Amino acid sequence: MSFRYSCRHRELAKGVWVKEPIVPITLIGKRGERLNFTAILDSGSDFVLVPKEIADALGLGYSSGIEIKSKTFDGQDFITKLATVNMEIKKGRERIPMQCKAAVSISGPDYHHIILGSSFFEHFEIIFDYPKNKFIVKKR
Amino acid sequence: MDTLIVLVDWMGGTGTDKSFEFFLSADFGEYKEGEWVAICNEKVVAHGETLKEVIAKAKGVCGIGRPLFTRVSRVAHYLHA
Repeated sequence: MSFRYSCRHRELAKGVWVKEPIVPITLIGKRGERLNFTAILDSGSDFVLVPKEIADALGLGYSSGIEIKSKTFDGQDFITKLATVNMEIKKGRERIPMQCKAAVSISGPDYHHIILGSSFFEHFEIIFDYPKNKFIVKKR
Repeated sequence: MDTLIVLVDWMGGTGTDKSFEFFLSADFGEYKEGEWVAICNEKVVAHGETLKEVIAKAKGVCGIGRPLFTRVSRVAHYLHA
């Protein structure tokens, strides 16, 4: 099963456009609550990164998780707690459920999207075709 | 209960796709940087400073579908968290 997505085009300044590999993802809380979010693919991140605000809304139960010291690309330190999160990607009526290790950002940068790092990539073959403004997420 | 959740989600599956298509083409120009927005039925149905308040506002507005939550961003990002 594979899902094909179009890149999101975002204008940073007049005439300056960037493409983003963003997918819709459903996170499932401990009590079965489901919330849909946008999430960005980033193979350079070690885990799925979930902002604390989202983890709290879903009741992800991260407080007893292992504490991991983390660092942003620009060197800023922050603290995360590891949790196992049930999630799924879907398109139309096809869905791929999975369980990923996620780092819940306790302190630090205010990321705008959930970041889908290597603990997400482990489930898929992902092909980026930016000249054609698309990327493909294929279940292995 | 699980069956109901799956059924509702199955019926609402294409709604999520439409919300995502709306997200791809929207510029959210009328909303503040960093603000949460909830999308369903191909429009923004709620927005606010915190996710909690936006979830509360969006509940009941979307019918059988579930809203898609995102944050407004106009700045460049360098990830590798």
